[in-house]
Amino acid sequence: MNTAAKTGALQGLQGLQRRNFLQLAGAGVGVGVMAGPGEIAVAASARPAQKQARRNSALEAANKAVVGRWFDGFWGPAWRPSIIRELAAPDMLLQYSLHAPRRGQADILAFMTDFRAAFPDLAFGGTAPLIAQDDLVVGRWLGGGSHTGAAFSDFLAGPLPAATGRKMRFSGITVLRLADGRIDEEIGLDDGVTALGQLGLLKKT
Amino acid sequence: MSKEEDNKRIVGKWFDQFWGATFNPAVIDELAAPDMLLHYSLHAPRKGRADIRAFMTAFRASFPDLAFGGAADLIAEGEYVVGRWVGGGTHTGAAFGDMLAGALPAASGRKMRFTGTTVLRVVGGKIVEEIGLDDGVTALVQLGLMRTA
Repeated sequence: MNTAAKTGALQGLQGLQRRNFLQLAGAGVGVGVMAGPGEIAVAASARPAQKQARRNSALEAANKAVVGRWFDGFWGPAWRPSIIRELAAPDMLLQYSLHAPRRGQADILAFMTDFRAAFPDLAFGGTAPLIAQDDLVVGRWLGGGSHTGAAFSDFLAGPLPAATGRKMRFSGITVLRLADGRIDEEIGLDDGVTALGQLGLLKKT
Repeated sequence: MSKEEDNKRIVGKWFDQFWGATFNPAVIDELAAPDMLLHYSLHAPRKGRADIRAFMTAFRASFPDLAFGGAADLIAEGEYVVGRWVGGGTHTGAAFGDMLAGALPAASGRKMRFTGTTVLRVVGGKIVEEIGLDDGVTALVQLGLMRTA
């Protein structure tokens, strides 16, 4: 793994602390089974155990609609840069496991502009209904593209020279956090083993 | 108590006793549906209680300190519960042939620590489906089964 990838992996873990799932479920039972030494913590974005049993159905439906529009306009086959000003919070965090994290509308615009300059047919789409609770929406997706364009150096695993012709098609799961109808945070796990294997950036030893 | 809160409690108990530091095999009969599907991206899919027990028994025979835990609040809607987690273990035990990427000889001493996101479906108080995406790039590079080009 190169230095950038190591750094990315560390950044990904630094904010995390292991917590007991019963606590996460709001049961308030600390059985303390989790942890090896030095393994305890709370995700940077974690909130107090959810106590409310009432559902915010209207909010959840509205948030799903926003995420649906975002996935279409940002990740779909018909990329529409104006979707960023419409739906991204000014300081939105965009973080996928294949890439370095991006922060803010300009950085996110640069990310997608470069990604599509390298993969002009880039397109991702949903594979299952969105799951929403309170301010969070979870999306499962599938997609990819053909590397027929510019050289691409935005994968943590390593760079691609221009127009390798390689195709990637992979799945992933993304958790988005919304506030006031805008996306504050989009954190996704890519099936990087599939994508990087297809792109020739990851090999079996 | 809403159905979602009940389902989160079930998944919380499952993660603690199936995936946590101390494996309780009895949790499988208690919380897994008889034909439960367990499918993580690092491994071949498993189906049914006996197959799921065999999976975890072999995993822990190879990684005796295996332990995963929650990294953020569970998210639930309807039958679905989503968990984000982090964990791993040290390969001090038996040879391990259950990674799709390749086999490990006994006691390689390699450590894995990685994250993932899992979507579970709970019906009638039992888990019928657990489908997870592992950060396989991190795990497999740490285990020496893959390398960046």
